Amino acid sequence: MSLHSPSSGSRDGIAATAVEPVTADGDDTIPFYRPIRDEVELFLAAYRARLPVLLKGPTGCGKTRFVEAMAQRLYRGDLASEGRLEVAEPLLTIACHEDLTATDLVGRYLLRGDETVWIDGPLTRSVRQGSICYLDEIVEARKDTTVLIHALTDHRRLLPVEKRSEMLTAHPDFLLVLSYNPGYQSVLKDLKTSTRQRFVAIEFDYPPADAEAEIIAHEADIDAPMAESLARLGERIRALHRSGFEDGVSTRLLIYAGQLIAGGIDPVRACETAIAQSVTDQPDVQQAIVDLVETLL
Amino acid sequence: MGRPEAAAPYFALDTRRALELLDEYEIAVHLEAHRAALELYAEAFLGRTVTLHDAGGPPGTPLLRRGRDPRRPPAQAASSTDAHSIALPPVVARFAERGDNRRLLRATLLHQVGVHLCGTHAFRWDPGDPRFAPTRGFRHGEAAVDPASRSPSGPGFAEFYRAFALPDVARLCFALLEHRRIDAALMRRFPGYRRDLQRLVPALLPSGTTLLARLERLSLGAAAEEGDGVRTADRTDAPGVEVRRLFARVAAEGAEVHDSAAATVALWRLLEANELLQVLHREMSAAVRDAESGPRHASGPDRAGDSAESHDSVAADDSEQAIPGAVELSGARALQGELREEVAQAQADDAARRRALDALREELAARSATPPQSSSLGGVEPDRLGVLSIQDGDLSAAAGLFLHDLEFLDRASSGRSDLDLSQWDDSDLAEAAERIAADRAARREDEALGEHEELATFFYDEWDHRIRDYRLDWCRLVEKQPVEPRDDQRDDDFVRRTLRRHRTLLNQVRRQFELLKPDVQRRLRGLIDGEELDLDRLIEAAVDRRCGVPASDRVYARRDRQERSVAAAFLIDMSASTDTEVAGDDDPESMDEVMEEVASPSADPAAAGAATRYSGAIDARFADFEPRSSSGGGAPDPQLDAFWTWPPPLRQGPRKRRVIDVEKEAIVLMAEALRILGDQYAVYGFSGYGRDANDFFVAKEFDQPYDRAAEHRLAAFEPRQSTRMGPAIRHAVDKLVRTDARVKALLVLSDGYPQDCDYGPERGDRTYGIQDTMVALREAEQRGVHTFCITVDPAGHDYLRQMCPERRYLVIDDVAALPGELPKVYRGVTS
Ligand SMILES: Nc1ncnc2c1ncn2[C@@H]1O[C@H](COP(=O)(O)OP(=O)(O)OP(=O)(O)O)[C@@H](O)[C@H]1O
Ligand SMILES: [Mg+2]
Repeated sequence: MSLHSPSSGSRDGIAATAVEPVTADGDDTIPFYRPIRDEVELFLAAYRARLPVLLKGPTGCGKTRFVEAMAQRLYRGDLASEGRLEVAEPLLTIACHEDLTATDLVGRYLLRGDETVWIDGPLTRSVRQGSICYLDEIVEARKDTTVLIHALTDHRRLLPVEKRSEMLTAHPDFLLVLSYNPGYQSVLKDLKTSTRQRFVAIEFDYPPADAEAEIIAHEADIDAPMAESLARLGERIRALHRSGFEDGVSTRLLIYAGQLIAGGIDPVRACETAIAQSVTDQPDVQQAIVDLVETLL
Repeated sequence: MGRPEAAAPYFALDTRRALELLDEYEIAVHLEAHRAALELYAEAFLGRTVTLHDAGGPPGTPLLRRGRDPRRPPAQAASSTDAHSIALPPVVARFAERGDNRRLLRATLLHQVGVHLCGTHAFRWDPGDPRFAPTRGFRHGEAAVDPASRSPSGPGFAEFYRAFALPDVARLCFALLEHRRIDAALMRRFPGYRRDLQRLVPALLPSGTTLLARLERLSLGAAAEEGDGVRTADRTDAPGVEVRRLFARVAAEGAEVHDSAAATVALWRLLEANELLQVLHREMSAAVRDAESGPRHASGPDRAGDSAESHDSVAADDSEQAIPGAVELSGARALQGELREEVAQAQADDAARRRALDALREELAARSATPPQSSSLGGVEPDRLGVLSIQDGDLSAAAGLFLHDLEFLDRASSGRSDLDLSQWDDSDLAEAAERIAADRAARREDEALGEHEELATFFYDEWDHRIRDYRLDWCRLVEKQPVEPRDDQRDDDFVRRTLRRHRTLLNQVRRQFELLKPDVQRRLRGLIDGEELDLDRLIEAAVDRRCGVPASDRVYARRDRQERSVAAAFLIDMSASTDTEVAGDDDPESMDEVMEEVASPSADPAAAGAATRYSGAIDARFADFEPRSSSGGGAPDPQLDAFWTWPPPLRQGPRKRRVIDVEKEAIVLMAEALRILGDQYAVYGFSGYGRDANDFFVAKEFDQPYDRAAEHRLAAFEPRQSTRMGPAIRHAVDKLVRTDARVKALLVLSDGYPQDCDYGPERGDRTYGIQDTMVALREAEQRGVHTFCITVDPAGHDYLRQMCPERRYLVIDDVAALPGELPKVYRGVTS
């Protein structure tokens, strides 16, 4: 058996998909983000003090979009500093999953011909460059991964690179951001207190209907009344949470429905496809949502 | 089938599933098949759980039996809503297309939701308001407001209608206008509702030239046709224009319930001026007669509410009684249903009174608990309390019971700032004793109805720790199966209610159990040893080695193929103490809170100080309160009758959950979650009195399906007597051992010490029972059954530690946490 590594980039999908440099092609426009509460001020203040940030909130409520917008402003936009303008990858996003190991984050040796070459993992790259490292859905990660970030998130700001017997001190501009979906995680998975308590937590939730209507109108490029109807629909569906439909419907799905409508699909059908079928498999709930759609749209 | 009498219950049991099936093929739409979705639909608007029930009968009446019996065609019941719930027709079959029938059902529901959204029940009548200024047929406000009947939140509908010479006509006028207002408001807000009405209403418009038909057309929002007004076409129709204007006014944006009431006054005047009041009155009466001439007697004994409802409105009456073929529900009523505004207000008032009474009771309990009065409750001699049959001589505990039973004696204290028992005279106490006795008797009767079928008798040894030996065949255990309760006794809603209450939890548990499910595809990586090599890790290790870095040897992977083979028995403590109410936990079913918000915008009866305000005003209505309304004392007041005897809302009202309810809820959740795992399980309950009379109730055996019948048997578990755990555990273990499962588990849910009248040398001795239970649990472990005891006794820690194998017990001090804990325990015990 040959010990040559398979094409190195695709190992565990990390390099290929999990890391999304925002400025891939020098597009320096700031992604659209509609502030809901004081999250922008909070984040910027936290960044100024280099306090690690935990974004709590349900799926599809704008966490990722928010970090993208913040990174863009801090590294390319109105708040960029000389040094940060130089950073090649202002935002490194890592989608956490069960099989993600500390090695995947920190880096590993690879074979190249007869040589062994050290390749930094995304976390290490971020620590060196001084960018924002965004660990998405941290609860999905293995325990050894969470321990890894402990030294990084207190005053030491250190990243141990075990295999190279190296202690990396984080670049002054480096910031670690985690996201965490409190409704989704179960009793099985929860953040350890020692992990949680290293972060300032900014809470996200689905926006109020008027703000959400603005977002939908912008993202799906549909007219205001239709966007408003979709937002009201979202509001009603979320009112079902006492009946255990705790996930509600995400802003993302409402946008999808809007995009289908913009593409000429009948609104009711669009919502059925993008919302009723996606949020639940329970026929009663699906039927109730279809009824709501037919009433509100 | 050989036994047709067995087939009927079978089909009745599976009502829901059968109806869903039927529903697929039918043009008619059955509420039962759509109920779950529609409840969620309504909840999305009201922001809280909503109970939909069948307007044709008391909740829980099997539809199949009502609707399909050829001798009893489905009642044409109109939809309605009160403070607590919404009633919808059991069957909608008005249109030739199924889709339209479904649309009508949904629109009907939204209209009832609209009653809440549009604040109909918030109406309070201000007789001084110039909009309600007196006219000829309109009695002056003061006279109409009888101070005795004044409700806590001020005069409402009842008083308003009474101000008119013909209250029924006024009620009808208000209903017509208010329905219009609601529809118009809903149409503005919900485009889909507008679409639905545009489609449905043309077919619903009543034809005919009667005044009633014309008004109903306007109420349905029919475009004003030529000559469609108040007068017949041959005369000038100036009043018609005026009437249309009134309907347009309530349909305008921003119109409130008070605008409908003001329009009612205006409409009344208009009708009066044109001498049409009597015409309308006659037409209403004719409609009622038509309805009554139908085969009314056929609707049989379950129409307990008949007499009570007849007052409600003339309209209500004909809709409730009507049988298809006799009179079809008018188009307006088919869509808009009927208002129960008076009932709803009475309920809101009742809720306020209940709160006042609770406060009173608390105060009194606090007073009776203070030391100087402990021997004589509020000055009443203990021997006089004897007539109230306080049990066990425990005064502090008895005080609660005593006061609870005395609710209807509040009249004795009316006019006083607080309840002072010392001031009650002998006749007060005699009356109390009589009432309580009657109440108790009724309760006993109820209990007697909870019959059980005896299946078999068993004998078990019992461990006597003093002789360090078993007493042979010491306990007699009778296995019983709760007899399927009669229709009217059966709590059909229990499982549904539980699932809804805990839906969040259930989803969580389901997800967790999903993970337990053996997954053939699952690959365990990073093992030291295994069937195959994990290429990624192997490469990494090789590279590391070449670099001189310590390499991991965890390079193997294995496909995990574990199959579950689990049998679990749940053993539920049904001892008397499980009757204890769970503190601070009202059933969230009712729409009480919604109502309170809506009904009292100005004077919030829940506000502090309300208690004192109403404490003296537990009025005549309350004094006449008959818990079972069996013997009617005093002059019959139809409105009061309706208030107390209209069964659905009152029985659906807030109720306290007891420990046993929580135990049962926990089991219902487990049963749902266990569908995922496919584990075998059984559900048993136990209680008894003495070693000869251990009852062992079977809700579900391992090989029985968890079906409606099982649900009913579980729902019938009620608090009974003592807690002799030993024989129950031994019996359950016997059954477990007979299953062929690899993993066997026994989960005991209890709420305190094992105890029984002869569980040990003397009553108070707990050691004997604890020791026997401990031995029984140890026997179980020896026979390969994992045991786990959960107790909701906050002081339980000590004896559980003595009794149970280490790490095989859990003490819950908050009962409400039980449904959440049980699945966790289950996961732990079975994997
Ligand atoms: N406040 C907002 N301003 C602009 N767009 C928003 C906002 N909130 C949500 N969105 C839109 O919603 C979409 C989904 O948001 P995003 O992907 O950031 O969700 P998320 O919270 O990261 O979800 P997940 O937890 O599933 O990763 C975004 O693509 C964006 O279009
Ligand atoms: Mg995201």
